[in-house]
Amino acid sequence: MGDVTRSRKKVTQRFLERTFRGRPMGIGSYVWMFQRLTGLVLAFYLGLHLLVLGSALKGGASFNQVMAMLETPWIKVLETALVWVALFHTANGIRLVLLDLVPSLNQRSLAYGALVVTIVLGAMGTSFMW
Amino acid sequence: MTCYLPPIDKPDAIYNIQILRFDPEKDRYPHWESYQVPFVRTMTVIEALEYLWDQGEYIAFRSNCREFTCGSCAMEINGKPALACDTLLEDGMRIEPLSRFPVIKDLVVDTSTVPERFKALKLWPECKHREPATKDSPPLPAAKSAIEHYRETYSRCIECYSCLDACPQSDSDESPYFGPLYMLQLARVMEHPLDEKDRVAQAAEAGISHCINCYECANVCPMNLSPATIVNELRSKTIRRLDLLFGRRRKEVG
Repeated sequence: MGDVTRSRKKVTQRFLERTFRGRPMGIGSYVWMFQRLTGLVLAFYLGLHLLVLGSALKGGASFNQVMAMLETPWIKVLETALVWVALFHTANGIRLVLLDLVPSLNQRSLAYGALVVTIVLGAMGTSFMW
Repeated sequence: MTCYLPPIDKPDAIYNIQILRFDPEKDRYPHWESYQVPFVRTMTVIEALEYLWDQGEYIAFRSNCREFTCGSCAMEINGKPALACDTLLEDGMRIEPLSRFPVIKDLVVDTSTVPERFKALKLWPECKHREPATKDSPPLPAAKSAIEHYRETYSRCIECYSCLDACPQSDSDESPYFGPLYMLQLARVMEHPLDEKDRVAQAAEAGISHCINCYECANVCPMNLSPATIVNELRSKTIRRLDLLFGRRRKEVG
C-alpha cells in the first residue's frame, strides 16, 4: 500500500498554477520568488561586471571604447533595472534578517515595507541617473 | 459510511467538480474525472463527496468529525491544502489528495511516516534526574507564558498536515527540512517544564535553516496558527548556538 507515488508538483509549477488560477499565494511566496530571481540576476551581473572591468583595463584605447559603450541608452536602461533589482534584494534581505532577530514581527507588513522602500529609493535612483 | 445529508429536492444550482481518481488495482496513473453535484446553500466539499458516495460513486476519502476538529479530511482544493469540511463548494472545483504523501486510493494518502517521525524525535518530555511524583509532590513549576502558549497555539494544532503539504521546502520525507508541523511539536515539548532534552539541536538536525520565510504554512492553517513564526523563534535560538554552526544537520535525528 502506498508504494505508487504521485510525483509531487515542483514549487514553481504550483506557484504558477495558483497564481494564474485565481487563488494566489501569500505575499511571502511572491517576495521569496523575487528574492531568488533577483539573486540570480545579481550573480549573473557580478560575472558581467568583472568581464567588463577586465576588458576595460587592458589599455587606454579599450578603456575609452568600453566607456563609450556604457554610455549608450540601452546599457543605461539595463543599469537602471539593476538598481531596482539590487534595491529589492537588499530591502527583502533586511526583512529576512529582522524576522530572524524578532520573530514576532508581522512578515506581511514588513514585505509591503520592503516593496515601498524599493519603490521610493528606486524612483530616487532613476531620477538621479537620467 | 453514513450519510448525514438530507435529500436534495430543490438544488440552487448544478455544479461541476473535478476529482483526481486513482485506484491501485486498475490504474497506473491518477486521472481527473468530473462529476455533477446539486448545490444547496452551505454545502461543503465533504457533503458533496458524501452525496457522490450515495449516488454510487465510491470515491475513497477520509472524514471523521465534520467540524474542523479531527483534521482527517485535509485535501488539496483548487491547489491549496484545506479541510474539506471547512470549505464551501464552488463551481469548477478541483479536488486532489495531499501531494506531499504517497496516494493509497483516490483522496486517501499514506501519512504513516509522520507518527514514526514523531517517535524518532522523542516528542515527549524527557527528564532523567527526577523522582517519580507522589501524592504529596508539589505541582509543576510551569511558566505563565508556557501555559499561554500551550492554550493558544500548541494544543490547537489538529495535525491535519496542511502545513506540511503547503511547505515548498519540505517536498517529501527525503528532503532535508522536516516541515513546519515537526517544528511546532518540537517547540511544544521544549516549553514543557519537565523536558531536559536538547530540542534546539534537534531542530537544527531537522533542517530548520531550510525554511524560506514564505509563510505559506500560516496562510493555509485551518486553525489560524502561524507555524512559521514558531519556526522563526526556534531558529533564532538555533543561530545563537555556536556548536550547531557546522556539521550537525545531516545526522540521524533522535
